[in-house]
Amino acid sequence: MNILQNVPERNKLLFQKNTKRVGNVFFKLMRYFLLIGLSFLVLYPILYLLSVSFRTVEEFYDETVIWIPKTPTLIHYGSMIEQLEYLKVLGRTVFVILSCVILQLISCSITAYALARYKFKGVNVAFLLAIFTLIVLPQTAHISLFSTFRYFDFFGIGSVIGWFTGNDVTVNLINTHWPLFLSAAFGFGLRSGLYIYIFREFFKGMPSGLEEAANIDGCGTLSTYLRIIVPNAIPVFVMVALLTTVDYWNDSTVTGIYLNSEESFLLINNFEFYGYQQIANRVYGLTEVQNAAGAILTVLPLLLVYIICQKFFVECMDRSGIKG
Amino acid sequence: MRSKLRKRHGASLGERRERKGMLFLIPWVIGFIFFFLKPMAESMYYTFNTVSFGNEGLEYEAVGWENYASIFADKSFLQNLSEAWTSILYQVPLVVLFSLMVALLLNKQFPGRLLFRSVFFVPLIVMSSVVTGIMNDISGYATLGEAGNNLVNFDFGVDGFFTNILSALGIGSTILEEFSGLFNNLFSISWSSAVQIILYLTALQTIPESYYEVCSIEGATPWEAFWKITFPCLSPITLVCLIYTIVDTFTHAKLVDSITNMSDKFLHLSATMAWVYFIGVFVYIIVIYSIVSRWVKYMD
Repeated sequence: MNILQNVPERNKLLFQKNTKRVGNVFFKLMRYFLLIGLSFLVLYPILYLLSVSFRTVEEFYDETVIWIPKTPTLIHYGSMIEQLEYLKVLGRTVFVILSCVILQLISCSITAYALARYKFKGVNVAFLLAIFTLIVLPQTAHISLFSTFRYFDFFGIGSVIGWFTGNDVTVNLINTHWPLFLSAAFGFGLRSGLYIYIFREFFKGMPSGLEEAANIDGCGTLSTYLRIIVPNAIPVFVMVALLTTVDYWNDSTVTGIYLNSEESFLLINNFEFYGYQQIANRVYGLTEVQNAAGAILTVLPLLLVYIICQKFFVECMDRSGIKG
Repeated sequence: MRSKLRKRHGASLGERRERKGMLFLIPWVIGFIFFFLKPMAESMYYTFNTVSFGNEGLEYEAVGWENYASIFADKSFLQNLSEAWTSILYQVPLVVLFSLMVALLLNKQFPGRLLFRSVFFVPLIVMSSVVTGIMNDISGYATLGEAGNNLVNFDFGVDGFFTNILSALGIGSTILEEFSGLFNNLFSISWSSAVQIILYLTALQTIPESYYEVCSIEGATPWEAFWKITFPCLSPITLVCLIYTIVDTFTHAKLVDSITNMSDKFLHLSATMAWVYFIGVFVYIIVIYSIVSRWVKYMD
């Protein structure tokens, strides 16, 4: 039996409207509650690291200090900046990563364009192989990659010259940044398979009329690519550039294969080296606090850029429109 | 006469165009041969030999299938392997479900939405093995070994912030342990789902508003609208998320650490382990792909 049966029509409508309104408010509160809770969960380690990095050594073991240290200090940051040669390594890192990002953007987008828009034999197989490269563990390949770049023979040309002259032309590229540049330039940077996939999905979604119109207007293949496809795909380029930057900034396994000397360390390798060294020679209290400061320093540039550009970042993610 | 008219010199326009397209693929093919095929082939070769570091480099000694036999006899490897494979079974759906829920929460416009979105992307930016290692070290509670096959192991521990408050409220200690177990898992799931949330959010943007309008005109509740519209429209991206999560979990399992440690001394054993692990995950991916793609509806 409907509870509202005997109530006049106007009151019935009001009642329904008000319960609906209360229901709405409840849902909105629940949404905020969930989001705030989850956000705290997600940010907890970073906030904890931040809090630890500002403490003095005695305060690290102080039970009463939960988040905010009583005497915040910057000395650990200072000492880590000195120890890690922060500014120099940061400059080096920014340069290397910027070049790798540009190279990877070019090579991945070209490959994806070929895989998306052309129907020659083997195009699907090539795409599957590109995805397949994502799946393998770098550990299986690291000795082989190391030796490839230790005795780098320019993709076989050096060996061919060696057949003739008896002397292989090889170059030792370990401890330089060339392995990173070369692998990015040929479509095999970090997680390139993923970016090829992203680009391909986007290119597939572009109307083919664009290319036909360009063809009629006299563009060859390269002009079509540069003048028509690329300007229309700027959001995807930005998204892939951002993801690549984050990947390269944070990766220590693959870069660790090639960079073994302090002269060539990127920020993350540098910190890894010193951080674990400190842990090995642990001075209780000091090691933890200094490592916290070092960790914050390592992620700080990226985090700052992210905070400043977050609106732009999030919008670009939206507009790149991957359907899957 | 007809055959003479039909004869073309060289390739047709279409074929010429296709060839130019192939030119675009050349850099990747070069990279594939040298940076992928060659290492993979060598790694496969290692699994059938014993590799040792001789004077000039690597020395090989052919041993046939002995490497495979010896790793399967190793109990700790078998245990790690089965743990890794089963953790994929429960970790992956949890992560995908979680990111779907968060994406749905973050989809509508509400004040503070930008802020919350940025928060959920932070793990993407901060996560590196070094930083998480330092966090585990500093927190003092987690041991990378025990905490299992989660992506990030950060044990909140029974002395953590939450549990201080809860114990002040008088809640017993077994419940506290359950809670911290829950937080650990939730934490590791939310840290593993950054990219998936992005994927779902972009996919949610592409669902046309008109579908929902039609739905509300027809009188469907939001629950029904979700199952009839949102869920099917998201099915392609769900497949992508599933595969991505499987690959992500696969590369971060505990087994990978032991493979890396082995690779210094016993390269052949670590290569064998890596190949066995990899074939298992590859089978997973193929199975999941064929099952799920039957059900995916492509909206064209």
